[in-house]
Amino acid sequence: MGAFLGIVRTEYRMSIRRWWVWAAFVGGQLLLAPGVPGLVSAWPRLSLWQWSGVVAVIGNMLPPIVAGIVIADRLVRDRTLGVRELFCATPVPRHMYILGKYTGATLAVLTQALAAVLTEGALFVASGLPPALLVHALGAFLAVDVPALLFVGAFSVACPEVLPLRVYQVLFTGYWFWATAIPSSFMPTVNGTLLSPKGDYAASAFFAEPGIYAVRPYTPIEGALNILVLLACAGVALIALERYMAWQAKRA
Amino acid sequence: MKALTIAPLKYHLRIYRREHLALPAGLWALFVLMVLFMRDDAQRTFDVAGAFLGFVLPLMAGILAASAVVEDPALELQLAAPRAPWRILVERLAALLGVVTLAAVAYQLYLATMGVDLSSLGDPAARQLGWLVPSLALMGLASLTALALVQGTGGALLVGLVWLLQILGRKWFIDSRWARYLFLFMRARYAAHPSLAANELCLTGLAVVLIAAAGWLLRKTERYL
Repeated sequence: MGAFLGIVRTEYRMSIRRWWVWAAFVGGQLLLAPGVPGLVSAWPRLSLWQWSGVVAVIGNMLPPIVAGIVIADRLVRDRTLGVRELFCATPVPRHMYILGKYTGATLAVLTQALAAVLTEGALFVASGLPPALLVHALGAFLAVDVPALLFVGAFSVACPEVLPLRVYQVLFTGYWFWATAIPSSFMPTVNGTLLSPKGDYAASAFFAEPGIYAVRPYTPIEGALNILVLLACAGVALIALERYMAWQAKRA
Repeated sequence: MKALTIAPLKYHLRIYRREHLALPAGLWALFVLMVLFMRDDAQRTFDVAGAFLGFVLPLMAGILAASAVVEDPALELQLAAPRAPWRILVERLAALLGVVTLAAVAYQLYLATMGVDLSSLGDPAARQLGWLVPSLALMGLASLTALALVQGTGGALLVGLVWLLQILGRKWFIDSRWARYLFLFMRARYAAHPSLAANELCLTGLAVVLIAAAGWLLRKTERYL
């Protein structure tokens, strides 16, 4: 347990210190600011709870892209710097190494994404909504943004072990656009299905988000299923990574 | 004046990073298949073809350019050679641009055999600007950012964000009196827009400035050791 916490702490500190990642998270949300007053005036009768769902969904448009690209180089970095061999020489089990790196890197982007969501919430408050929105937005962040970031983090840790880093980053950027912005009427996509990482299921099901981003209204069961599916996919990605690294170690 | 030395092409091909070839080839094949499957719907085929040329190629060029120099494991050796550092950058970007050009031209030849009409993007010469100009701009942005942060991931991140923001906010960019000149995808989406020529001129100039700035940064070799 001590080793796991040590890996998490080190990875978190390394990731949280990258100032340009903070700039990308918060700056990206600020770039969406011009659209906020229009949204607030277009939906004058929404409750604070519903607005928190809207804030969380908007906060899930860019931060996962940043998270996916930024987390992708964490294990690759260890391999490039030769730190992986040092880890292999320690008694730390492989699964603890993977889990520790994943947890530390994902906690760091969750911290930064929370800052982005609160920035977004502050923009809504500046457009006339009550400051209590920021408190509601925390709950929405947990239900809407966290599952997506956990999902993205797992694949961003696992896939660059198989694919070259830049290839993954290009494909991931394209994937995010395909999975969240392209309608299923244009081409087959996970947008609007239980595999959707957009957060619209949870925003619609638990926060009655009024259809700004959700394909249709979702029930609480659908919202819960979507979260479970995303977390299950994240788990599968991490298990597959551990098995792949075990196979590589056997071949070496 | 010292003679311009250009390393032989064979050397460049030997040290060229495989993912800079594999990714364009893979995406090219994917979009070839998509056009094949959608060939009965002319509008969707055109949208897919335009998306590959105008959106996917520039994104790929930008993100791959982020690792063109800073992630070279032999960078110290390269910088120790009696050659101006900016030549390293230009050679790497030129090689990448060559790959992107090959993908774009091959794709357009394929579209011609499939009977896909791209004339709304301009005449055959002008329509090359639809992928070339945004590719150059994103390559310049990626190179400058990667060299400034001494991290390829930073360059890739900024390119990905700019790409996505411009796609999601395309209406705002087109309606804005100043941002329209920085809109990367004007020919891909609004080929008949009256500001198209000025937009492409502005982006080309920006690309030159960004690459020149990246070359200037690379002169400070101690940052990369």
